[in-house]
Amino acid sequence: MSAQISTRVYWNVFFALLACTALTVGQSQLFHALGHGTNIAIGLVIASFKASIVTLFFMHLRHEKSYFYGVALFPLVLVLVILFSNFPDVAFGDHTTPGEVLKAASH
Amino acid sequence: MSEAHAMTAHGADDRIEAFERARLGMWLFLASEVMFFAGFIGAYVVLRMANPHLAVAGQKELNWVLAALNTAVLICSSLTMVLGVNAISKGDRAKCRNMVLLTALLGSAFLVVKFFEYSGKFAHGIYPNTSTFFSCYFLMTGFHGLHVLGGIIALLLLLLGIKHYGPERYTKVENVGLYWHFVDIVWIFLFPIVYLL
Repeated sequence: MSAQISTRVYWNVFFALLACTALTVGQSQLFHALGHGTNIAIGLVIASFKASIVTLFFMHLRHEKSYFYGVALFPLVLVLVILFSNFPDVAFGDHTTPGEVLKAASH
Repeated sequence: MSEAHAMTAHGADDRIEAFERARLGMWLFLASEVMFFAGFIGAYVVLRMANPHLAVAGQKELNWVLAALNTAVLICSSLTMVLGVNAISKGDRAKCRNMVLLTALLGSAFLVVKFFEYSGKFAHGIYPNTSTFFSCYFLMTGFHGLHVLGGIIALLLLLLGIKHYGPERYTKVENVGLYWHFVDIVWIFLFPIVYLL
């Protein structure tokens, strides 16, 4: 619980979040040579790191009992299942926009 | 241990258990909120994967500087929120009140910036039906904005009842804090995928 945590920890997390935000903006504006896919991957890794430290420190997850981790992680697993279940259709499907899908469905 | 002492200890145990159950309930609610946003973000990701050029034109119309400013505002509000929870857990009600008030003000600042951002879009004739990208943009940022508004209302309700909270009783402060940090986390993902990448 929060009573045992020094406010210095919160300030360190705060500065880390601001630094990561600057890093996200910097890499998206400056490192075009890396390629769009790589930039997206780096941006998502930074965002995941930021979300993790907010969850662990600001939301005190690291001081909770272990089953809280299950509650926090289970929906994330479901999200990944939802996203990956669409990949075959996205990768191998013929339709690229909702409009085309609707047009194809009407024929 | 005397009987009175044992009863006091028992009462304290009950209080700790009740506090834990309340936090668990909040975490379960936030899990359902993850699924709520997963639908929108998932649809956006799949649409972009199917059509890599979906966001190229749309993102040029967005003001990432304002969005970056809003990101900093929300991060600041997360700090003030957690400092408020920390203060009440140590019995400093006045500091908690100030921090919760500051959090609400920062949340309001976020919505003001969002208002100007939306106004700019409407002034340029950009609406949710302009393109698939802007449909996703307004849906995701709009629902996030509504969540910020909900959070501000919860913060104001906390302020109204602040005299009832103390180091032995601050479950609601902690739970509103959990909700507020969740709203921050959603924006942490929306900012890069909608505005930058």
